[in-house]
Amino acid sequence: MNYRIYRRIKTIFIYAGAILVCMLMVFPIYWMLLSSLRGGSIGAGSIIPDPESFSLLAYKNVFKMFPFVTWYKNSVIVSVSTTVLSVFIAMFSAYSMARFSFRGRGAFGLAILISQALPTILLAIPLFSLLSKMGLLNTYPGLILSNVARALPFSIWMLWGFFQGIPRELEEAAEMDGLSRIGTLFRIIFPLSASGIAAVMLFAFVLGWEEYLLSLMIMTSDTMTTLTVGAARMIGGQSVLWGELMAYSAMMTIPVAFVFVAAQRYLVSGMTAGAIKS
Amino acid sequence: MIRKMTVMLLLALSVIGGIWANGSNEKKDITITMQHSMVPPEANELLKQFAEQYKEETGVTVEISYVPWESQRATTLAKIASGNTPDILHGNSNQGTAEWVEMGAMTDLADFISDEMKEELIPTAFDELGTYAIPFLQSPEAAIFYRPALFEEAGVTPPAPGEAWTWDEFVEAAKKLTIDADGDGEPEQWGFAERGLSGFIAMKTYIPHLWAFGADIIKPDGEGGWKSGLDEQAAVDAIAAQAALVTEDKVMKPSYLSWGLPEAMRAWGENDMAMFACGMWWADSVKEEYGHEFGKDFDVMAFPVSENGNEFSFSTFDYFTIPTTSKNKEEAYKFIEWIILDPQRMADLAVIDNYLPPTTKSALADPRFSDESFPLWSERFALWSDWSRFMPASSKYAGMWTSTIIPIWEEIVTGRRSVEDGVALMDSEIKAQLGQ
Amino acid sequence: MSSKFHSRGVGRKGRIDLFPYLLNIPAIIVLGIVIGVPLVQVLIMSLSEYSFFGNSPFVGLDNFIRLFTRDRVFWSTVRNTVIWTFVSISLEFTFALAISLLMNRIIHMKGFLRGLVLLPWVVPPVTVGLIWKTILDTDSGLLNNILVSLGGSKQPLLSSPDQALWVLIAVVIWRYSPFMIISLLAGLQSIDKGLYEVSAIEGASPFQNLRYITLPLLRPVMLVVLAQGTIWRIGHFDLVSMMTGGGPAGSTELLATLAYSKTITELNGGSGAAVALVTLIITLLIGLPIFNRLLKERG
Repeated sequence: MNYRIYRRIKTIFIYAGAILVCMLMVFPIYWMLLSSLRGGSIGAGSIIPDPESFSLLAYKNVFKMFPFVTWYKNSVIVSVSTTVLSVFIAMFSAYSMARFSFRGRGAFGLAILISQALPTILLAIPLFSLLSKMGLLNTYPGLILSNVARALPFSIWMLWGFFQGIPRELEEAAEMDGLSRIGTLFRIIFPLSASGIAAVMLFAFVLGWEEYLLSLMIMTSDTMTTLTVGAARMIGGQSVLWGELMAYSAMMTIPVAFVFVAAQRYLVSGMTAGAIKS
Repeated sequence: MIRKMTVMLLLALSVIGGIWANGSNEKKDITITMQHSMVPPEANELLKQFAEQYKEETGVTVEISYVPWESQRATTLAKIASGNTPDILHGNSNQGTAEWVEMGAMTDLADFISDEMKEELIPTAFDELGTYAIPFLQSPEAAIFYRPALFEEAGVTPPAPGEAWTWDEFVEAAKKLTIDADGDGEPEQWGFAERGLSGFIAMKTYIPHLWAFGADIIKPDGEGGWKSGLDEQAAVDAIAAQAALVTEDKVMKPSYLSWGLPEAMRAWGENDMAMFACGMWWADSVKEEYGHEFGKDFDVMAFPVSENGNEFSFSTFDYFTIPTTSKNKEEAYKFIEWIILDPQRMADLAVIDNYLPPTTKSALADPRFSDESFPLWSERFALWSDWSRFMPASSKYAGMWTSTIIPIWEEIVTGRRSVEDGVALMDSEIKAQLGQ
Repeated sequence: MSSKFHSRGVGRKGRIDLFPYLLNIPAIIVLGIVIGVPLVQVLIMSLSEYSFFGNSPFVGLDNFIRLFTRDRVFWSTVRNTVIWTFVSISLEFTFALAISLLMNRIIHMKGFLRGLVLLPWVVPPVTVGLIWKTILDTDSGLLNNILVSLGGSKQPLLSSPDQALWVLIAVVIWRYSPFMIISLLAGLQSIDKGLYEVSAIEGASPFQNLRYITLPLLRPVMLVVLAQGTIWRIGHFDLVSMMTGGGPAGSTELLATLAYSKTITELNGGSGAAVALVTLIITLLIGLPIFNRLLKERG
């Protein structure tokens, strides 16, 4: 009897704790949503929503004032491409680092480390020149390439970490079954590290989605601008278009969370079942 | 094995090939590019309309692109460094256009500027940057906005339109206007406020204090060069007086340090302060945001002066410049002239951007600028433009100062460093930068 | 060790195994172009009196020497960055670990809660800065209002040189902890559930589970997450730049914001590049040891 109650209380605590934390994390976003529906300056409002005062005016304005759909398209194209390319390339490199000890492994690792260690603005100025000479300014490949370079280092690191956690016996067994090394990568390691890969895909996506400085520098025309850069337009020197900015941000933020939730279930379900006991 | 290698190689090649394939972009007609930073989205639309009309008239395509002010400096620098710049740049006294000129990155337009243009532009147009930049908007600065109603309540009489208070009169008035009704040590109404210290804007906030006391950051050394102005007593007095507003007289709220305009706007709306130092261009924002009427809800007075100070005001400008690396300089200039010489276009542009006065005589004659509700331009500005001066050297070195001088200034005003110490330190910084 | 999975890059017959090298070609190309070339230029910049337009004469180590001996804000910036990094990462990691352990036990609404946790990271940078600035506003911000209504007094927060950095640390933890939380969750998920079943049969307590099963197995992910988080945090720019710009009085100036202001505001690209290289070296100093650890463990 006692144990059952104890278990129940523990469960309640766990859920309550999780909900509390989520509320804390989410509070500013809640506020963002509220402000977008109130359409006005945030400061004056109270925290409790008043459904009667809600209006979608700010949302409509966003579409009216800016080429929002174009920007959205740009952000999606850039982010998705960044994600796919990064994970793909990173997978190969992580596999090489985790499973092979080749000459230059240390050097390569060092290079990855160095790649992330430079402040973006110093990188951006010569990069701009370079991309300009390559004819990649204001193009999708230009920004995607740059984003992938930003995403690769940590993607490789993280995947390496995940790959390491997979016992080698599995691959040796596969080898004895005649599977090639590439085949092993795709058929054994990939599925087993699915949750890790999903995480890395998410991170690469977020990186592409929220990249500001590189996007600002590389996309020079109105039609190629991404969402993060476009958001700055609602912040004028004197005043901020609060309602519109909040609506804009809500439309930028919520769908990503939705996709993440949906993708989670798809990618991770059932993948961890069937792991061999180590 | 060979198959794997081929796959890898193909992958690599396709990445490279994809990148390369995007290389070519031939343009057959003349296209000029213009980068602007005018904030209201309507301005972007207006410029695009101009571009369309221009194309109809001349067949030249103009591509308009927008860069927000906050990032204008970084992106323009990257472009200059790469040699790939737009043909027309929109610069501003605040954003360091003088520094581009100093670098040699902007074209001297002396050969391009027509007599007609010289006729049309206001006399002070070329004072700051010579023929390297063509101003199209002006922003009168160094004004103090005040609330007539609050003044009346406190029994304070503002100075007459053509005159300025002395510093002591100003402080006295500010004290009367600082009201702590519930005696909790936190006044509900502050006598004075000024904008926070961030970047270039800080220069506009701070320099008037120096000028009010007859001091300056740098002064001509009489031999065509510059010397530090901070080793004079007047400079110490000026900054001490400014710091005293917070620490001794207590007429200015300490937290203004982190204020930007949005915070100031909110404070204005909540009647937080009776006086606010800002550029006159703010009038339109206040009108728009709170519907405040000039003369009734707010008015403008000149910055106070001390006995050895000058009466002054100054203007900053929005400029068009043509980078040296532009490949279409003549076409670019023609487009600029096409906009500037048309009073309607100039006036439209000026109205959209917060009613900043345009820089051509014909555009200034537009009824919108002598409108009843905006006597600012006719009365105040006309009076003050007699006192107008610019910050030529200031804008030239503004970038350096923003990083080195302003933090020290902050420390002084918040009481973390003594005035003498701080001014001496700033002085040595200036000297170091001037190579002295 | 004759399996091709333990290849040392040299096959049984002494032929060099190209496979691992081939695997890395795409990464090398991308990184080489986007990072490698600019990095060389930054190096050159740091050794010159850099001008954005016109000549940049070589001055050797001048920029570095000036930075170390004559620069007014360099050392305080380094100090700020070190405090900023270590404090925020330690707190963030502890928080994230606790949360992820908690969330791992949840069965219902698992995906939804994770989606929620992700949100702070996905809000556009401009908006994050703005929202927090409003909440933290000294005069009318929500936080101060709550403090006052609870009987406390208004805090200057971002306008005080003493408080600003700590306030920003809290904000940055809010913003970036989703990264750690989600990574740790992913790591937790790949731990074989069967192990817990076995330990349950043997009567182990939750604490023992944690200590002997969970944490050890989570170690690689924890290490990577810590290292990665630290590297990112050292070079952080966005939020601080947007919220305080390095002020007030340089109290929130970090290496990345200093590099930016030297290059862009002061037009001193040489000095900015020098700061960038210093940042790189500091990052290497911190990242290398952890990295070597990872290198040695396996492979």
